[in-house]
Amino acid sequence: MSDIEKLLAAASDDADQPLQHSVDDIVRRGRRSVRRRRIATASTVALTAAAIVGGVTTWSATRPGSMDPAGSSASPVAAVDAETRKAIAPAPPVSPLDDSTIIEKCMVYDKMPTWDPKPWNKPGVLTSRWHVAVKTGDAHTVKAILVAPDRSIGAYCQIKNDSKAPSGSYGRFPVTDPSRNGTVFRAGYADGLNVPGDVRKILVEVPGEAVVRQALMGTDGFYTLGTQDRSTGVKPSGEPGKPRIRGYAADGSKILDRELPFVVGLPPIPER
Amino acid sequence: MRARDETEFTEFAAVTVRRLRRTAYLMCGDWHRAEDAAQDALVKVYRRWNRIDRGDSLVGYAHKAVVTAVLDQARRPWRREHLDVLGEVVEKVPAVPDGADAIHDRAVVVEALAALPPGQRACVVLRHYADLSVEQTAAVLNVGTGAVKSQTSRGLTRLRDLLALPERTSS
Repeated sequence: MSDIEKLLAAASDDADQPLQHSVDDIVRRGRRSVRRRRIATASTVALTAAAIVGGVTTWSATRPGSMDPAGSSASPVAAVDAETRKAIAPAPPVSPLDDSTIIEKCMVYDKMPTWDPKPWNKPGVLTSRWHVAVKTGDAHTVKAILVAPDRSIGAYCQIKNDSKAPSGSYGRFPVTDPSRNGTVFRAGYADGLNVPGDVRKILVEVPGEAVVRQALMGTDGFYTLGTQDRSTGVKPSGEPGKPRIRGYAADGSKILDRELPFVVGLPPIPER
Repeated sequence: MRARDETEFTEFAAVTVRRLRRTAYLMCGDWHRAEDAAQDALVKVYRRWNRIDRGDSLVGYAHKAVVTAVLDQARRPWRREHLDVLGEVVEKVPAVPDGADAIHDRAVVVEALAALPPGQRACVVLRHYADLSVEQTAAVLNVGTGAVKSQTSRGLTRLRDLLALPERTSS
């Protein structure tokens, strides 16, 4: 034994240091530990199973062509379009962001200089007095249509909240332009305005698509079919065509039916 | 755990608990912490009792668990502060002139050990107190055998300096 080993052995002499806990205490702790681990494992398995069952139930209740339980949807959605016999794709989700946050984010783009000032663009800068007519998206991307206090001007605002490369698409349009009434406010996007005030549900049918899209209805006659991320090169679903837009009142009667006069790109069909 | 396994574990724990506690004490310099670490290590062994090799690797696994427990304790903020204080004290360890026989106060040795970096301390304790081989020590510390040899060598040199021991004596 070397000198160091002797020193270490002497230093660790525990003759005057009785154990504070017995081996039985250790065994009891071990049993408790194993029990806790089993409970944690069982809880995880149960929660996972519940999540899977819940997810499957939600998915099967909301997928196109499924039959929803009565009153399960906030809007009068039919699973199958009675007119075309096509399944109805669900409306895009309402954005989780609150209105003030959306306006604040869009202000950044509103302040950017425009190349082509329009004479009708008079209400001034975007402020918190504007209101959000419709908003869709998720935690990362939001698309909203904002309306000026005097309701003469609207603004289209889509923001991709990417921490590395945030991007946005923004533009104003005259709400009262009669040439656009009942159609779309901007070519290229099948988002409408000035549909009759009693329209409660809008269905958009695009040539070549197997389903009929339900729009997300907002206020002031605005609706949206969802966000369209063109920066990532995602192609619109289906063949570009002239969409047919139908509007229904709360009692299910059709009060709007027209084909858009031009071809538009469309966001992907929402899936839930 | 089956009753037979539990009996075997109890026997193992009864035999090793003091040894593990002593190893932990040399690592941390505090008997209470050492007992906590030894208990934590044995509870870990209990949980894996049905899955670990009951041969030579069982002792190695227990030592690995106790070293991990000590190092985990040291990483806790309130423990780190304590270690820093201990380190300051160790720097004031007086030189002992006449070799091992002159050192009667074991606290001096423990304080000198505490002055070593954790890796060197673990290598010295595992190699020269727990009597683990280079390979076993490497497995316990999850490092290569070369690292164990160099850390042990540096640790011993530093320890001899602190205790004013001659370069090498053996009996």
